[in-house]
Amino acid sequence: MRVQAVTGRAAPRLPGAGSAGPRLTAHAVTWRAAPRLRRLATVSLLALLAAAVTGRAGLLLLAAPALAALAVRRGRPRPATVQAETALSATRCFEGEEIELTVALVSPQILDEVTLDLELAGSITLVAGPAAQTVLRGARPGDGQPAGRGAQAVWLLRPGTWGRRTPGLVRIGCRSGGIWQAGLELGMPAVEVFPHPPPARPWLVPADLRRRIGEHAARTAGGGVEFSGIREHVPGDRLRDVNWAVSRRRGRLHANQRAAEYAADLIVMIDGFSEVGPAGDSSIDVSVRGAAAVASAYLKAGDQVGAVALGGMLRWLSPGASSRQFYRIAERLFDVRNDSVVTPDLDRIPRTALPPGALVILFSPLLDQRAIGAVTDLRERGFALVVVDVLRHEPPALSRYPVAALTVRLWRLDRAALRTSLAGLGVPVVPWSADDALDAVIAPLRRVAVPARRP
Amino acid sequence: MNETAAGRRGLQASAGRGLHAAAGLGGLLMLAVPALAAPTAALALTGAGTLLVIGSLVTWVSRQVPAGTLATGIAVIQCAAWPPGTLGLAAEGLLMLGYVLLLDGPVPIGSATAGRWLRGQVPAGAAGLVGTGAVLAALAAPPAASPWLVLAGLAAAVAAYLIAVPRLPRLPRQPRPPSAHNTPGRRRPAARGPVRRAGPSGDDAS
Repeated sequence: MRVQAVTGRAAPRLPGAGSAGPRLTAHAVTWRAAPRLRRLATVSLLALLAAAVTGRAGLLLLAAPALAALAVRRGRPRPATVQAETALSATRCFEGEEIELTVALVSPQILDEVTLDLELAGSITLVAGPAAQTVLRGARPGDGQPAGRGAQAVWLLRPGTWGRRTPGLVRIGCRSGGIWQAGLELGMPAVEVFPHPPPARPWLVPADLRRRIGEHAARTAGGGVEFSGIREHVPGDRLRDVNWAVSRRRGRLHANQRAAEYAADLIVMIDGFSEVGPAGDSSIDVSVRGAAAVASAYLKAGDQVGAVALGGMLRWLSPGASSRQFYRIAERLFDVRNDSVVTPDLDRIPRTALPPGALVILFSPLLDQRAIGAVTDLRERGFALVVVDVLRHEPPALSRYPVAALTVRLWRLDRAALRTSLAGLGVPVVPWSADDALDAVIAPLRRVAVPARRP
Repeated sequence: MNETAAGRRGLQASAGRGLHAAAGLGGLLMLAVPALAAPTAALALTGAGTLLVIGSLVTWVSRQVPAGTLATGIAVIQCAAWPPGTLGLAAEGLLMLGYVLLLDGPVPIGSATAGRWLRGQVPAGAAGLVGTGAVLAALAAPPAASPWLVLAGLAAAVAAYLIAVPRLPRLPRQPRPPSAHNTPGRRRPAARGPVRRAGPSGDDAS
């Protein structure tokens, strides 16, 4: 089956389709003999040969119905081109959201039968509607079909995993007269599926906050709402700040002091060097969801958030505070799944993308030495760093090998030693298991002052 | 909504399965009619035909092997070897036609759509009936002894085959793709001998 897209043609809309309907493109179709034609022709030829060889005229009775059925069907006109297109209700969505796929086909001649077969990519599930739909000539407008001259099908899809992917393809089979068939394969536009962020709050605050209005209480006094101390009253203090109880006890006016509220700079970092676990729940999947959650929480608090993706080519995004920054970060992380043997050179990241004093949260399974080297490098450069261990699947201890259990135990000890050595550098490592919420994992660190100095 | 969609899907599957079951029944009857007149030794052929009929109903088998075509071929061979009589042959021809028509029924199809699809097959079935009637009428006529008549009958059968079986129209010749030397931005190599160049900028324009 050959399909050739014809470009430069008019692109009409499907009759009856709304303004959001797909724009149709002309496709040249090649008609071939359908299985029915081959069967009927074979039967009649065999029967004629048998009649000629055996000399029994009665065998013509086997050929007559097949030939008559073929003769009544042969004169139907067939279109040389059909117009078809696929359209998605949205090309950007979050994991688990539903999108509507509409496929439309219009033919200049009447088609007897149109079959629309949907083949989906692995991570996308069909929510409603059968994967294969058949539309016959004579479909009434009430069926939602353009009567006789084409077909339209609507499917409801649900992307399961984040990423930039094509949902699949639609195979269209057309039949004319029951004895001719043509096929068409239609691709779909790519869909950007953003990770669904689990709930999180901006618990972690770096020691050095930016001199920018935010929601985090700083060490310096200022005009915030959080209480930070009591001092003697000085001219200019507001009357409502006077602490009357202390003033009465001391005999002099004292005023409450409040902490300044500043914004923080946060860099979410993803370790894409190694991927462990099943599709949809691999370490990279967990990392990206965690990064999305943290970025979303800090952006809501008015902080500036940037992103760095380790693995393959080094990618980064300078911190920003706009509402679009979340989508920019997610788009930057789409390409994190790239196998590479290159060791990242963090010196290449510009100062604006990795500003000094920023808090860095690294999501990593801590399996690749290059990622551990990057952690050490960042810490030695004085960054406040927290590592979220996203490894949720241990290597299996196969019972047929007697030393397997011992090996796994040694592996666990090795990881514990690694965590301890990182903690010695001033890098807290928190494991994020499947049973725990990210918020609960990070919350215990909020009382820990994340130092932003050289160890 | 999901229950409605699932119910509709179930109806579609059952209607499609009904069409396939009818095709299978027709195929088995198609093999049974000549098997009645065949000796016991020919039952192996009938068994093979039965397997092919069942295989033609399974999608992945029918994609690999033309099981339906082979099953009808076996039925024709059985009829040629052990003819079941004129009326039996007429019924056999119609059963073959019914089997081939029903075998093409779409699987994902609703019950209302199945009815419409069956109505669409009526012209082919009616044509088959008319063709069978015409041949039966011709066979009922007193046989002629002249070999010319036999020859004319054979020629008519061949002509009927050639007329009835459609052929794809010959595709128009595609224009040749531009060769590497002819692409824009690359000068055509100089031809041998003197070349007259048209246009005011050419050397020979004056």
